Amino acid sequence: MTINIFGLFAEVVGGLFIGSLFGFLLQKAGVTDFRTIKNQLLLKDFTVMKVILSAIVTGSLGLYIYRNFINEQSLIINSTTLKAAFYGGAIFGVGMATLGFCPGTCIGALAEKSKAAFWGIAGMLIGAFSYSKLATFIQKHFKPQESICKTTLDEQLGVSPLIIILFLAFFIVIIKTLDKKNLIRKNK
Amino acid sequence: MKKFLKKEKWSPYVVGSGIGAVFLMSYIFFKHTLGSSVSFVKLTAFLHQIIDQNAVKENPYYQDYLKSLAWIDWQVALVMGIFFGAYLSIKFSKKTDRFCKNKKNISIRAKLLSLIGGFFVIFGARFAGGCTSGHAISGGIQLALSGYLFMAGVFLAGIPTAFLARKIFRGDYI
Repeated sequence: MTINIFGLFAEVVGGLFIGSLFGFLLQKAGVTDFRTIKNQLLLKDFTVMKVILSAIVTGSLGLYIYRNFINEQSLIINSTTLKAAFYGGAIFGVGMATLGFCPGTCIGALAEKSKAAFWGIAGMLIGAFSYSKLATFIQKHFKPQESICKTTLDEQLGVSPLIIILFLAFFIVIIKTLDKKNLIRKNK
Repeated sequence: MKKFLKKEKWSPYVVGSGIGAVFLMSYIFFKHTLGSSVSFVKLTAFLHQIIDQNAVKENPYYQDYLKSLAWIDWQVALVMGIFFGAYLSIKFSKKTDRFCKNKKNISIRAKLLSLIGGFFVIFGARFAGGCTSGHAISGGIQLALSGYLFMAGVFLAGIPTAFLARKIFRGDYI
């Protein structure tokens, strides 16, 4: 098997472009600082939740409009089982709490010359290697082909996506109000 | 506009909405979603291949991610872009003590914590089939049940771990 260095030109250029915008935004939010993520899990600073929730609300609203009025393009949901998503999330959570980065923000932090990010990436390489050795076992027990589930919340609950988006937007309002009233302990 | 780009920090709501827009661009124009953890598998496979020529041939998991027959594909280019974008953002910003703090050397205990944390981050991400960008953001935007279960797992395990780690490691933790 010969593997080329570069893939399709459009994919590489597109990935670089989208990634640059993504990295710029992550840095501007301050999530490339491990303190921001650690303080989120210590419930001191809700920046991470605010970023994720507002990305979801904006993105899903746009997606709803695009798919309903412009082009009924199919969804691109990661192929996994519900059990694996939850357990994997828990393992990931332990790591994110210890390191203070997720893979994307760790790369961003590397641009800040963060020492923690450098050691984190070393750990990630060991993690990827270990997983590759256990992949067959985990695949068999946690991700059998027949349990792969790409269902969405609106499908599952039988409601319009707009109801769920509204609910998530309401969640942002709650966090914002709590933050304003200083009920969430401010970091500093 | 220039002043806005130079600002050290943007409101999390502005950044979040921007990420939502970036997702839409990638979904509409490139038919891809955001994701970071797969690139770490590819980087590992690449490094492994340098040490051992048969590494990819003998490892079916590496092969799963090399179906495009290219080391630098959408996913890897995206991660390279993240580095470049974050770098640009710093260049635009006025330097503050936050950057100096990050550049500072860290203790052996802090290095070890980061190493172990990194291990669990990628192991968990590959177990789950995605990370924060793949499951939480891209999955979350598409209202995928798996994305929300992933986030539940992250917070349910991450919160007690953070409190415990702060108690044990104190200054080496945060």
